[in-house]
Amino acid sequence: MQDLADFAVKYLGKNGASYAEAKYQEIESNSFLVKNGSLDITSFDVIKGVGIRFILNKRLGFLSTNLLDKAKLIKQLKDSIKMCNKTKTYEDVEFSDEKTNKANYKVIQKIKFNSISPEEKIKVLMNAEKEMRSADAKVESTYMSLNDLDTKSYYVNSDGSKIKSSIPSCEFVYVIGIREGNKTSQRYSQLGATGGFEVIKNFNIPLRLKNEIEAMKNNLKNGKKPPTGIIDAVLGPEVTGIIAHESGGHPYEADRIFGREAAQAGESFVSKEMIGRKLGSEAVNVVDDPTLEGSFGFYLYDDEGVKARRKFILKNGVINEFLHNRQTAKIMGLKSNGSSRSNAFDKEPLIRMSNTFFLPGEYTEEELIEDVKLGVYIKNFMEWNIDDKRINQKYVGSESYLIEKGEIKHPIIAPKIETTTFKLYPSIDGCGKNLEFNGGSCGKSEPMQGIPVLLGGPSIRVRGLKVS
Amino acid sequence: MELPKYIINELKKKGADDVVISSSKSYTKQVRFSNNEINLNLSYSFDVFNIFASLKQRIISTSLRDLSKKAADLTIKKILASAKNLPKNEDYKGIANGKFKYTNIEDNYDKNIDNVNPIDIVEEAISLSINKGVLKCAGVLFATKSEDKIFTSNDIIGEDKKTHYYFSIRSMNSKDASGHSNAVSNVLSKLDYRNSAEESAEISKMSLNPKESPDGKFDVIFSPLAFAPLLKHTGDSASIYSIESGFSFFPKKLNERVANTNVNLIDDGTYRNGSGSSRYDDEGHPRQRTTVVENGILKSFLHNTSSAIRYKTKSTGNAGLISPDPTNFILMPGKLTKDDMIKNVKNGILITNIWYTRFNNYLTGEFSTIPRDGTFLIKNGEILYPINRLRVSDSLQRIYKNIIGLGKELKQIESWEAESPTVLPYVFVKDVNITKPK
Repeated sequence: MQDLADFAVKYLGKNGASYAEAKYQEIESNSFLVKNGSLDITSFDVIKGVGIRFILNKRLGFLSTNLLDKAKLIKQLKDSIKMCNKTKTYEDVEFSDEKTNKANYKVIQKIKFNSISPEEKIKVLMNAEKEMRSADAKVESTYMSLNDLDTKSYYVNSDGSKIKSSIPSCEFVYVIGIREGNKTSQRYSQLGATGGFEVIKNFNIPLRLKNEIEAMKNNLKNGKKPPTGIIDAVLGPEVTGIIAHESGGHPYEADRIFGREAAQAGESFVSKEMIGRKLGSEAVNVVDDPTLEGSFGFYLYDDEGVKARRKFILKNGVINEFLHNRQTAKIMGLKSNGSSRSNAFDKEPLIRMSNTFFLPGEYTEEELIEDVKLGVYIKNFMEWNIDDKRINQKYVGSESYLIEKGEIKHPIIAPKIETTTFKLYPSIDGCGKNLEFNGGSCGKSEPMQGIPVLLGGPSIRVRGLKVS
Repeated sequence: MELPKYIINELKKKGADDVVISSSKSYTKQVRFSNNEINLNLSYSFDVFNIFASLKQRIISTSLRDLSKKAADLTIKKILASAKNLPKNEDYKGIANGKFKYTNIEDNYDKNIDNVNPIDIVEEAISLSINKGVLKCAGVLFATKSEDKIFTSNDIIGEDKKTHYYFSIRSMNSKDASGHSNAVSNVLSKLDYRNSAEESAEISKMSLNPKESPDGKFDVIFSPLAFAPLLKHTGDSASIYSIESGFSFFPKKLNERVANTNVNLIDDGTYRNGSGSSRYDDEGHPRQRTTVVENGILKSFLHNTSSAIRYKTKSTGNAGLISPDPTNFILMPGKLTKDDMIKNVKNGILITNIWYTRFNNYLTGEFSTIPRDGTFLIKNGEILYPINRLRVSDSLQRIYKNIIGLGKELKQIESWEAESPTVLPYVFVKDVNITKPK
């Protein structure tokens, strides 16, 4: 069926397109959903289809289908071409010139997903349920989903790039709740990685969830009100990761900067003139790196055939680089840095993050804490949000503690940090040596595209934040 | 027709208790625009053929892409092999059984959809917005037609066809001044995209030069677009599956007060021209109208056949085969106009859109969300000036109990933030907690 992708690119070339690309995919998936210890449903599927994008008279078109039939595809191609010709108010689209690439790469599964029976995969979830229920806490509800995917792609474009890839991955999502008297607490989290069944083993799901339940119980039972006012905070990697993603990554997506996402995920406080502008302290270094082996956001070539690389977004607090596709790179007179992705063949490729994180620093977490007179230590979070220009942001701690005279004291319940990017980034005065990641599904565009990403970083210390 | 029957018979012969086969053919045209220009046109053509099977309470779902007998046999084999050693889902109690009559939904299909050029609509909307004095606008238009069929092992056969239009426009006059409005309809003649273009432009112009928001308790008027994400979550919370999995603020509240007496919530899968309307649900049970909250009292959850059996009640026609889902979730209207509400506000805020709603605890309904686009401070019955950089930090339980007024006109909303259909008026809530960053 790769022939269909090759055919579409040739057909569009013959019909006047100055550029065409096609992505054929076969996505094999297995998923398991366990609610309150009961296996609700097991699903398996194989999805096949092709997505095609082209430039004709500087106008951009996209089509996708799972009807792998040449005659039907020609009809759809003709309709798309006609739409490009009809239009008066159409943006002129040009792509940056890029090196053509021919590649064939795959992520190795040390333990192949299809060598593991459904029962064994389900056992991981059932063991986690058992561990949670064995903890000394009243577990109110549990909801877990485990998915493995094997995505085989064939990408071809009219410049001559041809890239084959095979990327197996898995994700684990949980939402758990406990009760202590008349108080309740909930936790949501997501893990994701590329690789085989060995990565699920590495997630250590049963132990992780038992620890979660115990920390939640300790917080509900012994937690006190958080201190309020302008104080210091030490934030664990899960919190640092969401900050990196929301205000260290999103504002620097060039399509947002140029207004293309205005009606969906929004624009950005950043403008194209801000490259080189100081935004954060010297301790702030944020990168987006799709080439991290085993990562949830892993790829070596993006969905425009451009070789992937690490992008240094914020360097010592200075805005260094935006995330580009070939369209925004052309507008800024640059080369693409390989940030174009679609979550599957059926959606248009967009500028997306991959694995976005603060680089670690030189302190141990203890050293970050020992220099705080009064503050909060927030290990992880539940509620968060940020405005669509990526300025006004809030994080509500889950497992959290008071810091007094450089020492961790009692748990505190739901400390809230409500701040702005302009206040937060200059106030980061130290980064830990540790580096941890969480999985995420980042949403953008219409129709919504949730795409696998990692969010990460070390523990960081922030001075003078509003805490309530 | 032959293949679904074949698959059902084969699976039944080999031990399946229940089988549901649903197929859908859809074709969507989309136009995406920003900076007053069309960015690209898109089309999507998809056929799906889904299989759900229960083998002694072992539940499997999959799909078939190749509609040959050979591919069907392979899939049947895989279903049987997969189900063999799975643990039982003790909660599963079966699918709909009965001789159902389906009624047609009014305004559900636009015969002319193939001749509609979405680009013409978008170009007209862009012109309307610019003519109203807007600097730039962005948005999207979708036009979809679909044909669905269902076959079940209880001899249920259903067919449905539908068209749907979704239009969204955000107009902007500066980085800090914008307005957003959406229009949805199953038939083009009722798609009020012109009004959306003009409304988004009006809000955008009004929101120029915003001042920093105050914080504290305020009486808040939510536009339909602004309250829709909260109503969408409320609809989700009414599903019995959300109750069981800890995603709802309604647990153990049946027949108790969950809202002020003026609040009536209905799920209506037969709503005329409703985005979420259809003749039958995912197990072939007819769609229906269900009162969820009556005069502030929680009256019913949303059920499929299986959950209804467990709770000794009747299906509300909301299957989802595992999780019952809302269809068109409606907050019934009151008697006020938007101007009546504004006149009654001493110290309040008008919010025209929200985004990034996230919960700290689904059971208590504690959440925060961020007003986006035109947001206005109201003092002594008059809009004073636009404000920004604020956040609604409250709980849904409190908000529903503090609804003191409802608009008299209903608007159907789908949006980026509220993807499933809601129908609602302006909503007037007292003492809403507003916070802001420092």
